[in-house]
Amino acid sequence: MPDSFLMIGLINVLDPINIAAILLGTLIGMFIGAMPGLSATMAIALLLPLTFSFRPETGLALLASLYLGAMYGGSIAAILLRTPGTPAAAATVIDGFPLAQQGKAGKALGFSLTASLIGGLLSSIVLLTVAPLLGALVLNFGPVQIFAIAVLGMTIIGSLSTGSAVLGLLAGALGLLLGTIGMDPTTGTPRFTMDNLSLFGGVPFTVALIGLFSVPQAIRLIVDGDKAKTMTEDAPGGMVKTVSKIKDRMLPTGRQFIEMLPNSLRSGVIGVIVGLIPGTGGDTASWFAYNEAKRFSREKEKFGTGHTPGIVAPEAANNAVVGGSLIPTIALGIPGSSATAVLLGGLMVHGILPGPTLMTDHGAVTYTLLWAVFFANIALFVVGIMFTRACISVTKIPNRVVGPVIIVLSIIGAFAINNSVFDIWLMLGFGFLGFLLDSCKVPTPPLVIGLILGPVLDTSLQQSLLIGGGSWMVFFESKISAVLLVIAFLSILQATPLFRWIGIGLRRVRSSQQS
Amino acid sequence: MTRLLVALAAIIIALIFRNEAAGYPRVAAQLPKLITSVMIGLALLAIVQQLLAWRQVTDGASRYALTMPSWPRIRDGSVFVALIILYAWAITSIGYLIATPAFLLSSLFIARATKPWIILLTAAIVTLAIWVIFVNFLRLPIPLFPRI
Amino acid sequence: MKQRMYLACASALAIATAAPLAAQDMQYTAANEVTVLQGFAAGGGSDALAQLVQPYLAEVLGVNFVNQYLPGATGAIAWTRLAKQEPNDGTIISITNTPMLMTNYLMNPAITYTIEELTPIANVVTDPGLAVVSPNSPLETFEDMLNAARDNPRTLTVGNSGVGGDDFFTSVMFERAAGVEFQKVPFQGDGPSMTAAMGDSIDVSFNNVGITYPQIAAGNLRALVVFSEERIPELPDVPTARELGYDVVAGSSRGYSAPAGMPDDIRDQLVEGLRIVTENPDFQAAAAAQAMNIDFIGGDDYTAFLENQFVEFSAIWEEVKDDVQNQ
Repeated sequence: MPDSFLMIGLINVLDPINIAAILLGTLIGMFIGAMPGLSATMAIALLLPLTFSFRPETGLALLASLYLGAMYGGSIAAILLRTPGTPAAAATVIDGFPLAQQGKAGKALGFSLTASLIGGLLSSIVLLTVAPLLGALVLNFGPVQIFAIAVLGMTIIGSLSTGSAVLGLLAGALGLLLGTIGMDPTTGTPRFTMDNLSLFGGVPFTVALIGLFSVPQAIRLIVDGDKAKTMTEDAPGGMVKTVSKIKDRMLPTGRQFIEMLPNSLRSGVIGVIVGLIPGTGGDTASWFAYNEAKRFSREKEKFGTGHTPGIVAPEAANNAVVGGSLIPTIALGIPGSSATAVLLGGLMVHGILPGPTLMTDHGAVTYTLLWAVFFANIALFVVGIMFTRACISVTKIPNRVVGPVIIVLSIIGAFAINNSVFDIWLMLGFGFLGFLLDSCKVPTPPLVIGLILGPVLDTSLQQSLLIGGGSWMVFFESKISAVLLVIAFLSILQATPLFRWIGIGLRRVRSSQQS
Repeated sequence: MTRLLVALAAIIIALIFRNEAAGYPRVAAQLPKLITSVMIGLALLAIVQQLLAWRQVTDGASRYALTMPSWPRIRDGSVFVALIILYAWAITSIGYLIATPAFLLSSLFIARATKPWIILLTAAIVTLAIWVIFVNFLRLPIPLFPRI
Repeated sequence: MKQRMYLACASALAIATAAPLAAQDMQYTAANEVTVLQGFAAGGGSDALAQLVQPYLAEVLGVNFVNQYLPGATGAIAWTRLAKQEPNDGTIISITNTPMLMTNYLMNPAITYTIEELTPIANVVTDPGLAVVSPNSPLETFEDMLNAARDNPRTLTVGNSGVGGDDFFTSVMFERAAGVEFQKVPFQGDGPSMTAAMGDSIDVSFNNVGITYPQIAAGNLRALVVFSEERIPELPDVPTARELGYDVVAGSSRGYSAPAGMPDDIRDQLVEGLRIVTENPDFQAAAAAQAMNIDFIGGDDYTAFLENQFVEFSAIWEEVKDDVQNQ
């Protein structure tokens, strides 16, 4: 049966209307993602109602390619303007923006595009082939295991602190604290909401992200004009921004391609696995991938200065996540991430219920969607090349013009997510916070991670303790969580000088034995 | 010196949150209490680091030096921030179609971003483009005109 | 006698055939366009209802419906706005979910709207509650679950869709009726609660029929008991709590409401329109395909329904709230 669905899906997706939907979705998504202040979440929220009148496969193909396009578009904004369009792109800022500042925006974007293609195709192939088998894995991840993953995620903060580790950890802790704002899952108590209903659900993450990155950047652009400095540069003379040439070599050479392959494949696998696990979404995958790329690199100190592996890793991961989060969807009918949940909502409206019937009664629609994801990745690459060249010319626009426009887009973009005026002020509040942090040289990425993981950590902790009857041993009763916690502990130790001391100690013992 | 200020600010924030959480049920306050404790610990560590660093610096005055940005930058930044806040307030009271061009024109002219005709064109294009796409096509419920 | 009967039948027949024709001529007098405030994000359960009902309703009433999404605080943001700020002339209505509608302000003093500030129009669907376990679970029947709960108080882990949701209250009502104590574990919605049960992370999940039915049919979940008045046709082997001696009938319902003080004739038009929609066989088939259980409760009946629920949930919350806060 599945074989014929595979074929049926392929034939369906090659229908001109669906191909048009894929191309259109990719283009629109890329445009939206590339606009600072506008986000992938907003794009889907606004366009979903429009797709209700289309055929299910066409509507889904449009939404899926829209999402993929917006993920990549967010990276364009991250690299060129330091304003990530999606949380996943925030990881790309770290190395992407410095590289663009050195005048190599084309290279940064080209590597980003290629890595996205590799990661996306990897997860598409997994999706089309072994997905049903992997789907069963999803069920093994309950609250206890998710808590362990969240703890593991927290340890990444250590490696992301460029500069002072203590300040980075403080930023991470602040992020976690802000993440606890909202209604507590077990008692329903609204925490730190100051009786404001808009905060009952917690800090809307995308709004905070837009504020943290876009607003300080816009202020910097207007105040410094075309002499805008990079974040890591604080020499008295500053560094004059080099405008990138459009004819700059974009795509990697054959040799560079082979060099980036191990990194992209590993990051793609991380993306698929993280997407698979419900509760963790695209936001965390790119950070995990970045961390692993840094861990396995022999040039750790180059990360953060425009090092290309630092761009390749998050990009491959965040495209792979889209495919990965569809695996539990098609295997069990359970959304793997909030974006997939929206896609499923799009299906529900057509009378297609999330569940095992997706692979049986509605197999044709489902496989069309899967093939649409596959082709969307290719469309992304093709459209991306053309679109990106156009985008590089954006760097020619004077900074003083770009600044206010970023503000307008950020305010509209923040409003559009929940149709909430409060979100506009929340975004500006985070903008102010981001500006303060940047001025005090406190790194922002740890705050972002804390904000993402805070709610996950809190909810899963409370659920786990309820399941374990109040005993903390519940985390070691499960093999998966025990292993993950041990890895997390070792990661923390690795960041401290402990291993170095052990190494020195061992060497001393050996030399004293020899003498 | 900045490190010291950051640490102090962190302690203050942690104490405020901790105080607020004291009134919550045990389970709800669990994680906030844990996090604020960690924050205070880290802040104390940062203070210790700063004090140790100061020991190395013999010149007393430079310890307390704060690298402040130049006055023109502060002035420009504050003006722009004030315009942003005004714009956010204006969108909901005066409406998008008036507030947005006002904001764009004022910030671009004050910053002397480019030639006047380009400024007018930019403001017009941006306002119109967003209106067409978001309000017209996507029916974004943002107030367009002043509330009478 | 027979003549009167024939007359009655004939007139009934005449009215029955005339009524649909008359309905086609129904025109909503309040406006040409009605805004529907949605308290939950696009693509969710409320949206699914809106997308299903509104095209039919639009045809019956001759109006255009526009959805406005105002998610946040489990619907409280939208409903507060509906109750406090919106005009009651029939140009704006909202989809109201129970028990969220009442439990929002019951449990949170910060939420200030009440059902007195609304004009209930009609309920459309009700999703009955049920209890499911994983197919690997040692609990094969309802009796097993009851015994397990009795023998180990506060140990049997029972998932729900969140404090204040229908599953939470259903489990409390059941605890009171059966005299047992569960270890209640909150999740962010029916989906995660169901998944946790499927993966053996929790023992039982108190959930709803709509979302669990596909998994039950596929053998990924086992249903132990359903909390409805009668057995669900799709689940003929699953007993109701009532027939087993425990009077627990609960579920989550969705309908439409408007701001208080809506003129009666406009309200009647909407109630009548919704009634016609729910009696339309095409609509019924479409709803069944989405596993939506139609439960039309119109006009003042809906008002009474909401008030009864409020009284019931208030009583339960009064009893339970200290336990919940002091866990």
